[in-house]
Amino acid sequence: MGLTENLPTEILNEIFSYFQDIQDFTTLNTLRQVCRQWQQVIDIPSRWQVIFMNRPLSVQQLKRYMHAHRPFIHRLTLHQVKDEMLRHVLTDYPALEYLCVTQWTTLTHHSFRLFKYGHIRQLVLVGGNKDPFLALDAPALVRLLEMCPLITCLDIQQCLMPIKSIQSVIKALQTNPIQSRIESLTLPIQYPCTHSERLLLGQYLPSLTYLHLLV
Amino acid sequence: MSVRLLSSDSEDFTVAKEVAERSMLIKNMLEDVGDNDNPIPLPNVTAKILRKVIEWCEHHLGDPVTNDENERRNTEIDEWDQKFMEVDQETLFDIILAANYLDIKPLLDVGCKTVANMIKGKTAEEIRKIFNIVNDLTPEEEAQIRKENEWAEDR
Repeated sequence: MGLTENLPTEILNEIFSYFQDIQDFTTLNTLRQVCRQWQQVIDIPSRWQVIFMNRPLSVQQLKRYMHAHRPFIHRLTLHQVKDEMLRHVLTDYPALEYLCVTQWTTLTHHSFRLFKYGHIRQLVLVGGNKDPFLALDAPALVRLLEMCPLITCLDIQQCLMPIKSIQSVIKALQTNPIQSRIESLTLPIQYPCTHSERLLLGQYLPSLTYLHLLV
Repeated sequence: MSVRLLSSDSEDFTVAKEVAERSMLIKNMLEDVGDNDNPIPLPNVTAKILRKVIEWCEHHLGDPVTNDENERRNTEIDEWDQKFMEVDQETLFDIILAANYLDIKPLLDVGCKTVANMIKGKTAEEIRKIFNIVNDLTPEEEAQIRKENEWAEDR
């Protein structure tokens, strides 16, 4: 007699949640292969909505852990990634709304190139402590906003960026006028901005209510 | 103050009220019915399992009630609990079911952690053996799952 058949789904779920808590995705993937009941319990979408990866991973590893669950992931936090990883996540996770990436060293505009990431609403990029550099100039920043039409919050912190002033962002917006819903923008920048620049920026980004410049 | 509990096989247990109240189910029942001498029937728990559960509740009587999620986030089990859980699989699952029914969250946690530790690091086939699970996935489904899991290598 199979004893686990007597365990109600809620208890199986409870048992499996330990592997979820310690982010042991390898084990969860193994458990999916045991029998149909286990597979169904593992694949409950709510289990996969919020994923926090607390150690660095290669793209291959992430694919291996997450492939079957990608459609359900809404919120994802990653550490120490490179362009390749960011691009993979942005393009291949169809339900992703919130992405937080921390402790990276260098990211370039290649991370955000070419594709339209229709689903992203919040993007948080927090660098690390080894002089991280985000190679995103003002035109590239505007293109990023263009590629993420639903984005309301962009938060870039603890890194250097090749953006001198809000003036350059305004210039980029004049060259490439975009429709953006951005409400909250946090950016490292070299020079503080004037009140009139703030107002002018508001004309190009009409939803913007929070602008935080890290000078 | 003591409380009488009646197992499914009609064995009568008398336990201290604070021991019985480790079970949220019993605690709520006692609040509802007030003080009286009638035994509380527990139709889902046999005497064998109820004895184990009472033993656990007595040992953990002084434990602080923690709702700390971080506490749950590790799979470590203290030594006494480990010994306590050294039972055959059927008993282990019966304890888990009883803890669930009686609503004794910390005991349920220990039971689930014990099972989680039995699972950890095993292959699917080994897990089926340990728990005597019949693989009811068709070969096609199995291949599909394997493909999903090993997708990275295929590319």
